[in-house]
Amino acid sequence: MNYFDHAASSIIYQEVLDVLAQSMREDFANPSALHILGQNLHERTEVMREDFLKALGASVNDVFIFTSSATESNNTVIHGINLKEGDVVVYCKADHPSVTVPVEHSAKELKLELRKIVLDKNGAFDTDVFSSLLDENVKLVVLTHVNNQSGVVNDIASLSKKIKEITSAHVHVDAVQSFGKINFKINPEIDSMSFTSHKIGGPKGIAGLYLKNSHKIKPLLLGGAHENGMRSSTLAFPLIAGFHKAMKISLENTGDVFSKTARFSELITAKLSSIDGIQFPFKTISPFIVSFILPGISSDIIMRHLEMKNVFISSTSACSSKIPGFNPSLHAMNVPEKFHKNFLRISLAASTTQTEVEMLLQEFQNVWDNLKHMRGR
Amino acid sequence: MFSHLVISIDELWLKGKNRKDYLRSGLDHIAAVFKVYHPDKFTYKIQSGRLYYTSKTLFTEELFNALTCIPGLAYISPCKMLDRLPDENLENVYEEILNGLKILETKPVVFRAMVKRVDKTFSRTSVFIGREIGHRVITRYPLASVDLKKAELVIDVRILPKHISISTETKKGMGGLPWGSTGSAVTMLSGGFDSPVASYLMAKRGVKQSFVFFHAYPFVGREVITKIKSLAKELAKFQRQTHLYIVPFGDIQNLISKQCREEYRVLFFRRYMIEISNLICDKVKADSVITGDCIGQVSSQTMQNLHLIDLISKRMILRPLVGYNKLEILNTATAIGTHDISIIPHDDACSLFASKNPIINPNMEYWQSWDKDFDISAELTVALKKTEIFSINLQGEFYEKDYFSFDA
Repeated sequence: MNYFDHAASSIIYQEVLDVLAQSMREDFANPSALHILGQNLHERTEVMREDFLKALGASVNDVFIFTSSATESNNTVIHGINLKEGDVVVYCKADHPSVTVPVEHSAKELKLELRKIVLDKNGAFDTDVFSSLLDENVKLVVLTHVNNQSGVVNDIASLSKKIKEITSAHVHVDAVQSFGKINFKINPEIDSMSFTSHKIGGPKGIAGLYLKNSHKIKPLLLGGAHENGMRSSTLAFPLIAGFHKAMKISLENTGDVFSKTARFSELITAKLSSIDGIQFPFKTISPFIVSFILPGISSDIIMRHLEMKNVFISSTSACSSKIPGFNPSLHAMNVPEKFHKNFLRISLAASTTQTEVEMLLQEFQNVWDNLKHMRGR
Repeated sequence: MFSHLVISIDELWLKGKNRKDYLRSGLDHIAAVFKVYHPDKFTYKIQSGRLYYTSKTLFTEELFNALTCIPGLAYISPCKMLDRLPDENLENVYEEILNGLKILETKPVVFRAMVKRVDKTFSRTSVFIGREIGHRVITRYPLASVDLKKAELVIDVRILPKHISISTETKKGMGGLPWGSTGSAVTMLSGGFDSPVASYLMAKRGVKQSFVFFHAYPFVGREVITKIKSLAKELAKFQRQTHLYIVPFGDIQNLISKQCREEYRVLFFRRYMIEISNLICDKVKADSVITGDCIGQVSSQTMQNLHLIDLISKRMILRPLVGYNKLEILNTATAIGTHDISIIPHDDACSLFASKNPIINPNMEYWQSWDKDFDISAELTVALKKTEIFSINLQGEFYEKDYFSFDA
């Protein structure tokens, strides 16, 4: 298996599987139960929760809520911070739909004013334009640390500082593509942050939401007042344990993995550059994501030819021939619409090997040689 | 819900010596539908060209609807069967009719009575009984009016030897000829609007069909299969049972497009689709191939291009849509329930490979010399071996997946 779609979902670590299996078997009690079985699980959960906060460099007095997905984490913040009619939300159309859709939905429901972050031709923030969006009416700014399609890394520390110089708006960061991959500590100007487990070798169905202590958020789910009333639902203890293990493994060797991955992505970029017409439109990108435009052949056709060779990469969407391929996210990243169908993403992880990379490059070349006669349609 | 049904068979009057066989095909198909939608006991009899079905349990709306999809049936009406009273007394009949028309209390409806004496020994004439019914209905329901030509409601009464049947609701059946009575075909489905309509029209003419789809994976995704399955599911209700063949066609398309002149690509794709369809006909012993071709609709459907396709087909190609306008096709697609599936966008490998200036008046020499240095019979066999066969029952359920068997 030559898997290069880790930005969509990564391969689970064997150690995480072991933790999950054992925990599923043994930790069956309800962590809210008052008997010793429940209490033990509760205590172990609190230790893991602290580990997450420590990993982020946050205070142990801050809050880390376990949710079911990063989508839930983003929604919890966007719906929970008590936005009112006339409030201004600053966001970017290039962000993941779990940010853009709830923001735009709330704007309609609550009559909010939306201001869109404009990106330059490299997919990065245009800082001057960004500053001009900010004033004291802004109540929420949503930033993405690493864009899931372009891989562009935003400097969330300096951006959040800039925001707080101008306004006291809530600053929320989607860190799904950076957490466990890129070394960073949370800075005090950031009010909340979303993470997920399945992008770093953990199980699906578990994710996290960091909240600065002073913030009160209206919960999405009401019930037994779990997570201090912030998210009612029986704690998925084994999943939390699996997520915790994946986080530990990922953070243990972020540095080594980062430099190894950087070498791989440079190699991939260098080799692919020899293809006539290929474009790498983005700068300052995470080494875990290599995205590019290959004009002439619909990206899903290339994706499926590679899958036949057991090589898996991501195409924007199934969009050959008759189906229009407009992609709002790519549009926001200044990718011309005529190339939306030609956008491909290779994404890597700690588990990616040299052999896999070589296999990818070789098969990519073969597929391209087989298909290039179709170019221009 | 009714416990009696009257079904009339279409075009039976056209038949002479083979009438029995046609009737048998129709009865078998009806029996198959009853087995699914009315598993309880029922009896039937044939009387003067009509079929009378009776059951102690209620016939459902589902049964009623399924019967309207059986080729060869003209009309389906739920009816009431009354015992004949002594002395040609029809009071029970009049009473039953009036009680069954309560809707006329509030709605102005134009109606007429249609009476037939199957039992000619009955002395009162049809005209007399018809007038009596009309008179009584108008007296009881002043909103109702009689018009023999514009009637929206027909009160159908038949005097049978022992019973009298009354029916006030008649659904038009599919008409045409019973399933399988005229032959069998492999129908090429593309995912568009046309081919499902073509299939329906030929089903109406009694052609038993199975369906073939050419899947150009990896040039198109798997999503299109879901769409084709939905179409086959809809079309299966006009068949007693059927099959869907999914033929892998991507490699063949790529081979062709590397080799042939760009403007001929689609024409050659179609040629090999027809060839494979013929190979499937060999396997399943089908008599013809059905396509949704329509004269002049797209460049590959010029007379010259269709002619070349005819030349290489071992079997007759049935193209029931040749004379249809697009709007007529769309209207029929809506009526048979395939329009909303066909309209879902899908990848189409033909347009992907298609030249900007496709050939409309092909060069015969080029076409005929093509085979000399292009032999893909091996590839066609491979495609056939990899063809997935789905079996579909008359409810549209996919119940089995298989592959063609080949001699070792």
